[in-house]
Amino acid sequence: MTVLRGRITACLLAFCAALAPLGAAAQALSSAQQSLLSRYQYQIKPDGSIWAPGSSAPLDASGVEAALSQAAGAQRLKALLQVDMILDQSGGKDNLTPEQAERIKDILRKNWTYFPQAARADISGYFSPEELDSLDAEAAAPTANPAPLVAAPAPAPEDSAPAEQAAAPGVAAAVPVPVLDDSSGADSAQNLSMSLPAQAQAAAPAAPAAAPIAASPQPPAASPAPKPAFVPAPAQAPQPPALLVSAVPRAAPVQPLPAPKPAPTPALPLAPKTSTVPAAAPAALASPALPSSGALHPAPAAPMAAPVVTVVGAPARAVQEMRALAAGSAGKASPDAGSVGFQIFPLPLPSAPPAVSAPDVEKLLQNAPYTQDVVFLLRQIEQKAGLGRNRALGFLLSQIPAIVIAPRRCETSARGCVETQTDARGETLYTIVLSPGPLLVRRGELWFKQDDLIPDAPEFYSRRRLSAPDFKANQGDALAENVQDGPWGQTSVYADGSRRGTYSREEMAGTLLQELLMAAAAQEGWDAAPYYAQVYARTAQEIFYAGEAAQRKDDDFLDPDARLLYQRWENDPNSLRDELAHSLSATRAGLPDFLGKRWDIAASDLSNPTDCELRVSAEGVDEAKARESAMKEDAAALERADLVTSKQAAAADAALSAAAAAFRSDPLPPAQCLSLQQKKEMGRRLALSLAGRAYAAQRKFFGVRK
Amino acid sequence: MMRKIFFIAIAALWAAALFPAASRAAGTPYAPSSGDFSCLLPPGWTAFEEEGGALVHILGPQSPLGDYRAGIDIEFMQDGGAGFVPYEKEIDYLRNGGAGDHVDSTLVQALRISGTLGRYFESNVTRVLPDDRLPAAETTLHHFTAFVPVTREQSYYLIDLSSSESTYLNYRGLFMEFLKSFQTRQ
Repeated sequence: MTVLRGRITACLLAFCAALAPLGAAAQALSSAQQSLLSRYQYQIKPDGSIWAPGSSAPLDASGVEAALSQAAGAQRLKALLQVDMILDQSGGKDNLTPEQAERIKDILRKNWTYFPQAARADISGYFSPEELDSLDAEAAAPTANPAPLVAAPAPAPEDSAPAEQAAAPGVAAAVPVPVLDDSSGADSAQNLSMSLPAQAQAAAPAAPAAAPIAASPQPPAASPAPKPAFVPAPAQAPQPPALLVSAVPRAAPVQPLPAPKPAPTPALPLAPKTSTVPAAAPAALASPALPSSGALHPAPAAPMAAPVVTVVGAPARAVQEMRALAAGSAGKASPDAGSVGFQIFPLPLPSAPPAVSAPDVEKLLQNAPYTQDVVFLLRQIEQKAGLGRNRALGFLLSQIPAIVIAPRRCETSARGCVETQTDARGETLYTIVLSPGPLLVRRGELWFKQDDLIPDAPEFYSRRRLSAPDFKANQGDALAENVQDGPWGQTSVYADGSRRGTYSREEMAGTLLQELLMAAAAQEGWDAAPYYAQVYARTAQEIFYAGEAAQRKDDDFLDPDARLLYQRWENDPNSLRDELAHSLSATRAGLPDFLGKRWDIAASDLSNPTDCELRVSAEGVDEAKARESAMKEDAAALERADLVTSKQAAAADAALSAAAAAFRSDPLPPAQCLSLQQKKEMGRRLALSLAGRAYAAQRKFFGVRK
Repeated sequence: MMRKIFFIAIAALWAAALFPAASRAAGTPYAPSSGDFSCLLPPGWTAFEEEGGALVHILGPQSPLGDYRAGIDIEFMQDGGAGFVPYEKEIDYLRNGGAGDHVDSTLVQALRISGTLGRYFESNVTRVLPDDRLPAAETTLHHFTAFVPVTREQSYYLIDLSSSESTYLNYRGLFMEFLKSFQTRQ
């Protein structure tokens, strides 16, 4: 344990040291290195250049080296933190259960490449000598993509001692942590980004143009330089969603199902960046009953008893068996129907998340690479949140998502958003972005002036084929003419009339709680019913605000619209659901199925599984159309606000229509299709269950107060 | 006299021809799973319920800006239940809003709904729409609100039709028709 903690400290220092200045260059990297960089939001352009998030120039050779070193250090740190938490739960290495030991081995296996030799010696006790040999051999194996490597003048020593790391140049520039200060105005708020690449980018001096870089020999595995070879995923077959599809061995060996194919993406960037459904369902799920209060419709016959069909082997056979099931003979499905077949299981729901203790959270906050501002927000959630606390903090502890406070990151949300990325190994990485304050533009005349909230992310405009309006409040280096208190907090006023408001820390804590829950929804699949997922997350947020308002004896910490919604919720808690139903069902929400009803697996759906792939494909097209319609409405809204010309809006409309027309959703094989559909159904039921819990929590909360 | 009756009959026929929608009860019968009330859904509107029928949302057309869908929300407020607010207090809040809210409202009128003496008023509320999506702008929503008391109890139904201000005139007649069809289980 002590050695491990020492390693964590070393990693933290190495991580800080890795925040070296980044410049501009074009490189060719191995696929493993590219995957590592893409995990940390670096963009790799088709021409081979690598861009740090939000940067205006590509990285040069040293920048790429620093980025690789930084990303590897962060990955190593994350792995060690996860191991440390498991050790804490067990009370030490000697008390590990077999499951915990296997989890630790799995974490270490996946990240073996990132550990230097000295660290590998410390953690080698978890593996047998044969396993160690295998891991080392895999780490030393050449990459599948022997692209020319970056010419590394002096690679960052990943395994150097902490003292050496502390003495490394660049540490002093990277260590200072920005402080969130409500009185600091927009400019300071814009520098609050806490993402690792953003910090590195912020520290980067302007670099000269990239020069061609000669390939250098690949370093050996033991070299401290970033290695192009990744440890491949442990030798285990891809697992189907744990509870939905399960292989049942028969007389002959059973081939496990391949992992569900990720949803195809359109040629043009129509796919939303958020709410990516992870490739695998959470593994540890139990089975409480669905509360009756969560009923969506006049119940179809016993929804909880709806069978889940396990499909193994030939899809055609599965189709026949499913038809038999729909015809009423499912219960008689013969177990010895063949060497491969299917079995029917009840569809269980996950249990309530285990309670997350304050020491666990505090331990994470002390070790994880979060800035003081994010730590403050997380402490607020840990201490004051009611509904959703354990689910949000459980997600935090298990995933350790990146949390950043930064403007110009959220495409369509004014307060916060969840970004997801799937790396080459199918793991989903979550980044929660909180906006420090909205970009406001005042329009109208005399007494009829009103504030419009304008998107500030460049991606918003590029995805809609629009040129972004050039407001000074959206330029990081512009100076405000005036700073004044207003309904949107401390507001910086710029020469062109644009303004940047500031969200209070208490409001941001509520937003973070909501976004943590929505990220958990994406991970656990209950975002399949967006309305119910939002009901749960937003109710948790309002209950959090109620606690804060009771403590402060006012609700002035909320922005005007959040305050109005909060007051209406406080007066009539169910008004929040009304608001969500009216908003999420409208075109601007971009949701073709806000209730998730399409995933309601009724008997009629199971009767025609051959249509499943066509249905899923058609639904993919529907979703693309809904996103297209929403984006067109966004462009029209900007036109109404005189922020784009009618000509620009028309051009955007035409481009979006063409993109939607070109969209094709690849059909899925029946087995994958059914497993995907069942996973969605599982998520929808969980969302319903959680909305019922929100209703009960709300009643309990108001029952106490009134 | 006969001539007078004749002219009245002609006028009535003429009015019926001019306003056919008003002269016939249109809509699909609907009752939540609890069976606590029944109503006629306006043509083309769809309903879904939550929490065993304690909440029902009936969704209709969306606003021209695509940021809000008109709809009727029906909520049963159980006397003595958690969070119960007496209807006088609820009316007062909905008509006046909280501190800093921009709410305009009409006077409260008495209205016979489901055989009881209900209350009815209209109000405008300024919101930033769409909810949690950019770009967003201040928009006025119009609410038609009715309270239907349950006999011999303080419990009541809160029925609210909300829409964008630009389209609310399309829904006044529809809301009245809906209230006429609304029947509670006595």
